[in-house]
Amino acid sequence: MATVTPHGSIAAAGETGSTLDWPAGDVSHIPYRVFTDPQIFQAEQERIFRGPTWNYVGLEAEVPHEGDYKTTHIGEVPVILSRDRDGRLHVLINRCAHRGALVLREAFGSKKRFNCIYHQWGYDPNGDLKAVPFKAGAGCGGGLDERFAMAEHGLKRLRVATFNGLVFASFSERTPPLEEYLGGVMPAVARVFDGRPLVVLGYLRQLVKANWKLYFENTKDPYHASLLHLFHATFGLYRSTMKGEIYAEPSGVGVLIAHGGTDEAKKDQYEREEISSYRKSYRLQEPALLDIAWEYGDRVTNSIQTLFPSLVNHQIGNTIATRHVIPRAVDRFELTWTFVGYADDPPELREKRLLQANLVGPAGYISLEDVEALEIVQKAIQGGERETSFVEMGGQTPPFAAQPVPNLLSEAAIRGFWHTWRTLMGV
Amino acid sequence: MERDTLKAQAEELLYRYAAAIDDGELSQWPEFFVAEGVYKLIPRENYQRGLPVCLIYCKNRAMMVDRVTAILQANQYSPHVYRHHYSNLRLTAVSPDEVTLVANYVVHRTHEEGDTIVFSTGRIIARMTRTAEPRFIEKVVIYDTCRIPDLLVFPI
Ligand code: FES
Ligand SMILES: [Fe+2]
Repeated sequence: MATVTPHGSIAAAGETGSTLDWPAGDVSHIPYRVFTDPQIFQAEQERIFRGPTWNYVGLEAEVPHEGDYKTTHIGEVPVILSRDRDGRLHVLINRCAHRGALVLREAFGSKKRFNCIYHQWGYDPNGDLKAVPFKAGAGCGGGLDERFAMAEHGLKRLRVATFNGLVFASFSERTPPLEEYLGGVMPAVARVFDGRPLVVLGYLRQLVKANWKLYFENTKDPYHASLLHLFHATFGLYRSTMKGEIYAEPSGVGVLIAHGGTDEAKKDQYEREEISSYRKSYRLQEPALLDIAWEYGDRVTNSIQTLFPSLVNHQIGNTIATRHVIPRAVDRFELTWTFVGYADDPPELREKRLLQANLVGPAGYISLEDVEALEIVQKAIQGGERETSFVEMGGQTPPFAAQPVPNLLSEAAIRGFWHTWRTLMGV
Repeated sequence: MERDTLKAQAEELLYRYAAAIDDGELSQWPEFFVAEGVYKLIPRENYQRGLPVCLIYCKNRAMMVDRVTAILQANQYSPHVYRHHYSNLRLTAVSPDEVTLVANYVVHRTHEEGDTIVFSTGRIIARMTRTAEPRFIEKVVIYDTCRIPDLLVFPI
C-alpha cells in the first residue's frame, strides 16, 4: 500500500528509496522516475484510474441492443459495458461476486444472462445477481445461509455518464459531472461527436512498450507534430506555423487544434530552419489519400482531444477515431483505435475515411512515428531515474483554464497535464 | 495437370513477394500487383464482423508506391526485418482469367539488436491473374495477431 509524504514524494510501506524529489509546483521538469517506477504505477491505479476521473469505456454504438456488452478495462480493472432490458447503460466490474472470476470473456457479445462459468452464478445485464446454483443445498445440508441476500452480491456498478455517444465511467463519487469535467473542451468534442448516430468502422490495436503518460504528453504536444511527422509538415496537414490553439482544463482534459491553409506565407520557415521533415519536392502518386472533404464548416485539419486519463479522440481530415489508452504495466500500454463514421455518411465520404485511416493507427504514416518516439524515450530513460525532462517551450507555467494558448509552439498543455497529475497523485 | 501448374505459379508468386520484402527490395512490392490491384491488411476481428477499416489499405498500385516511398524516405522507425513463411496453400476458385488462392502465413520480426518475435500470423485470400507472369489483382491479408507489437512498418 503506497503512502504519500508531504513534499512531493511517494513511498510504499515497507520500501525505502522510492521517493520522488520534485519541487512543489514544478511542472516543467518531469522526473523520469514517474515513467519507470512500478510503485508509482500502482499508486496511479488507485488515485487516478479509480480516483475522481471519467474513464472512457466505449461507444453507445458498440452496445446498441438490450443484453449487448463489451469488455474492456479501466486502468488495470476489467469492466463490462452493458445495456439492460430497459435500454440503460451500465459499467460493471467484470469480477464475479463469488470468487472473483471474469464473468465475461469475449470482447463483444449479447446475452440475456451473464453467467460466470466457474460455479454458474448468473447476473442480469444490469449487474443484479439472479442465480446461485444449489443455494439451499441439495437436501442434506450445505448451500448458503438462509440470510444470504442476492441483492447484496451483484456485480459492482460504477457511475456512468455519456456525451453524444461516448460512454465514460467513474469509480468515485467525487468526480464532477462530465460536462464540468470536459469544461471548455466540450465544444471541440461536440464538433465531431455532434449527436448524430455513429457507426463503428473497425478496430486497430497495438501494444506499446512505454509508460501510458508518455502518450498523453505526445498528444498534448503541438511542438513535435510537424517535426517528427513528415506527412504533417510536407502536406500541410499540420505545421506549427499554422493558426492553431491548445487548451487545457484543470481536469486534465484538453484539445489541440490546427487550421489548414493558414500558413502559406510562413511555411518557408521550415526551409530556413532546415527541418528535415519538410520536403518541398515530396509528392504522392495517389493524391486521393489527402483529398479532404470539409465536413464541419471550418478548415480544421487536426483536432486532438485528450480526455484524461484514458481517451484521445482525433479528427484528422476525414478520419475520426477514439484511441483508448489502457495501462498494462509501468512500461506498457495498450492502444485501441475505434474508427467511426456517421450513420448517414454518403459512400464517397465513407471511402475517404477508410483511405485516410492509412494516416493513423499502428501503421499510420503519422501515428506509427509517435509510438516509435515513445518507445525510444522509454528505452533512453532507463538508468536515468534521478534526471528530469525539460518542458519549457512557451514558458514554465501550465495554461490557465478558460484561456487558450493561441500558438502551436508551446508545451503548456503538457505542463497542464503534469499539474493535474501532481494534484491527483498528491505529490 | 493444369491445376498443379497454377498452384506452382501461386506458390512462386507468394515466395517472390516475400523475398522482395524480407531481403531488401521493398521497392519491388507494388510490382506484384496489377495497376488497379488492391491490397488490404485487415485484423481478423474487423474481417469477421464485416467492419471495413484496414491497417493498410491501398486501392491501387500508386498507393503502394506511396507506401514504399514513405517507408524508405519519410517514416521514422527502428531498423528491423521480416521473415515470411507460408503454408496450407490452396486454390479455391479457377476461372479462365484468374485464380483465387488461400494460404496461412507467419511473419517473424527481427530488430537490429537481434531479438526475433512472432510478429504476425494469419491467412491470405488473394486473386491472381492467369498470365505468363501472374500478378495479384487483390490481396487481402487477414491477421490474427490483432494486438500489434509496437507498430507495423512493412506490408505483409
Ligand atoms: S467464481 Fe463465479 S461462480 Fe464462482
Ligand atoms: Fe504525433
